[in-house]
Amino acid sequence: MENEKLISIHNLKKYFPVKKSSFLQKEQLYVKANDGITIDINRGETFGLVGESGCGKSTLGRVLLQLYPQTQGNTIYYGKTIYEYKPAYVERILKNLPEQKKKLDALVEKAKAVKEDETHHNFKADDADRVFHEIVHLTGGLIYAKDLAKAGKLLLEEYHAGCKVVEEAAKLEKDSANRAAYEAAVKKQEEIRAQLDEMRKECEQSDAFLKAEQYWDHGIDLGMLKKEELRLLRQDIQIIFQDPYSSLNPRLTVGQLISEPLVGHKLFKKGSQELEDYIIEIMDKCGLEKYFIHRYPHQFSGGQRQRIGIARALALNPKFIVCDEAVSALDVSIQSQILNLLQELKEKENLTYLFISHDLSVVKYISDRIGVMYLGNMVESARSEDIFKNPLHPYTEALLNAIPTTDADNKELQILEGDIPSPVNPPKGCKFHTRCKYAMDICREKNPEWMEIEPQHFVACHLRKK
Amino acid sequence: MAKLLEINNLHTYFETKRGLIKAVNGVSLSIEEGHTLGVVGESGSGKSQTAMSILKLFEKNQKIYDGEIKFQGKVISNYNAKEMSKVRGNDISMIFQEPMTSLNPIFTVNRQISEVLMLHQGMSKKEAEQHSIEMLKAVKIANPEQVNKSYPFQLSGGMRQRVMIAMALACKPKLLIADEPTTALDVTIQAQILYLMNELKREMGTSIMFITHDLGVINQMADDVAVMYCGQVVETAPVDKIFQDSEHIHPYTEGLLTSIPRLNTDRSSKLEVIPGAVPHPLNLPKGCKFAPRCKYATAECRENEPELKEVSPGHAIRCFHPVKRGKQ
Repeated sequence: MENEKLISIHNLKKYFPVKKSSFLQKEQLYVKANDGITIDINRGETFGLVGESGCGKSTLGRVLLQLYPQTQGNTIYYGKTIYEYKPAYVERILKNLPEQKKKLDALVEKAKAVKEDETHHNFKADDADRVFHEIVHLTGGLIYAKDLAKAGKLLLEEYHAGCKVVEEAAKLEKDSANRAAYEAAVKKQEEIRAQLDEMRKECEQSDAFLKAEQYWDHGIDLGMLKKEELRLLRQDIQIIFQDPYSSLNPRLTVGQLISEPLVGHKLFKKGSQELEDYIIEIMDKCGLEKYFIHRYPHQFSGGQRQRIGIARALALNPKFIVCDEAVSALDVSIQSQILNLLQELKEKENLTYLFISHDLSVVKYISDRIGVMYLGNMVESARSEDIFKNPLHPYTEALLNAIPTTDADNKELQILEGDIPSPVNPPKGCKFHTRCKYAMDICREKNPEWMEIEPQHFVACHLRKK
Repeated sequence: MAKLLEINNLHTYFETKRGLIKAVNGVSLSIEEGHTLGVVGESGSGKSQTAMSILKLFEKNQKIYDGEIKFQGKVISNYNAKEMSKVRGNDISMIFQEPMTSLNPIFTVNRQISEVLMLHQGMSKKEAEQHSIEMLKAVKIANPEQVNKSYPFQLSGGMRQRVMIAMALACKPKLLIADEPTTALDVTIQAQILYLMNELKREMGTSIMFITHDLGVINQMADDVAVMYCGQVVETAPVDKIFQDSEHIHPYTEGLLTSIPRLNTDRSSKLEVIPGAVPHPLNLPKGCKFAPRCKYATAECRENEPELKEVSPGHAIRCFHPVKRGKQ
């Protein structure tokens, strides 16, 4: 289970349009809150996200949950397979596979026509990339099959067979007499898969085919889901907000606050005894006393409110929780209580966290891996010890040197000059070059690539290029 | 060394319908000339209210009930409003936490800095503008002429805080009170501001009262530290003693020091926790205020209130049983 992906994001972009200052202004400007982020989050790990304010870390957390629709890119969720979840887009794509491929080819052509210097505000290349991934996650290498209509039909059959297997498995759990039906469903799926394998062998074993083949993984593309499908999926993915004062409705009691998501997802009937028992169980897990259930948020201190927020997120038994600055508003003594609680719950409930914070020592304490963001880009990501022992990006280095510590040595802080540039008009080339003490000519010209320098240690910096 | 500011047994209370809130409950502090005193504590510990008491920036229902504040040997705690306004901004000035809300959004930076200079130093408008630009230069703003003409919303958080500092230092005050000046800022910007404040302190010889909840920042900035809890000072000492080499330490200070994750904290170990929360100011416990959350508390602590006692020169602790360092 160690390195199994739970969420995988590819080239994720979130642009917020800026209001035009006059009707004569031709070009639409954007705040590039996330500008092409690619990371995987593994099951059972805590992924820490650090950066200064305005670097897009909160936006990334929200885009992951699709609280903001993503502008470009793909977010694939592996907590459930498409067979279990049956999103509507699967049938739509597989039924019309030849047309989809045509559409993709047209986009690729358009993207090729775009000149190098126009890519600044041009989504065509991103469009092609996004559509490619949308399809490939369902078809794998068969996107290059000669007879696309047949491939689509077979894939669709396989999909239906897969759904059947899941259904039968669920029935089997209730009643073990149904074993035969289950086995038949499994067998049918295997047969279709064998046919698909045949088709794969017929395809040309090119690099493109093999590359596309790796993507065939039955994950759910969150960007493709309908609103209602997303709402239901949020049972699995939850968020804890920064401000415990404004994120709780002041007119609801603690009991009502926690029951809201449970009733909304139809897990319990409103007002039932089971619901109340369950709420008390959850409250107990989060360190809230039983008699708090009829109290209102204003009767609690900040730390207690944050516990209510955690209880609310936890009530649905999620697999993945985004903690957006969950401890930043709390006093130090309360902060350590909440950190311990989060850590405990993670072990008990087998949770995965995306932990967003600007406090590096907190992030280091709680995270397995850390990503450092600057102006909408991920600049470095590695296991948390590696980031601190061996920071490869100059920005990470500067961040580490700017934290005041309570240790005796290293009394002099190192200063990173200047402010963060505006995300509407970020500097050309590497976005950090305006503040970087190692900046070279190439940094002002070309955006550095995202490279794996050491195993699991990614960085985007020209300095580290071999 | 001469004491610039001395606070003796200060009590500042709020009168509310539900009773007296003892925000500052017997605080004694002193700041030496040219030194930085760091005041730490959780929210509600009375650190900001102590600062507000010095400048008498009070709410309607708030007043000093007891104690005195001496500034340069003169008692200022009984000054009336007119006398006080001569002190404010001129001898003692203050920087607040939230740089956006503490600058007036409808006036330019120039107007806001000039106002102080014209009022206290009797400068003409022109002189004040000139001086305002100089001050902006002193706080390392890259293009002072332009910033001088801009409105607060046109500046970033770090820039606004620099403007606040420029304004506070415009009259070369003897004492600068900085109430969480970097809490709202990013770490890289915080480092810039802390560096700047240290440099200005060295140049101008200003004493600083630095209020924060961040022990790391205290370690950077302060010469002496006062730890506050529930409106009282529970420990005062030179900074090195708190962080390294004192033999004894107050249990609350120990809790604060161990509950923050440090960069070298082992990830598999749990964080030390101070259980519970700060008591409600209307419902303070009997005896030592920290006793309900203290793991070393005895029956004596719950009955009687300890005094601030000197354990070694310059180091005082308000506790019956100060913890020996290193014993966990």
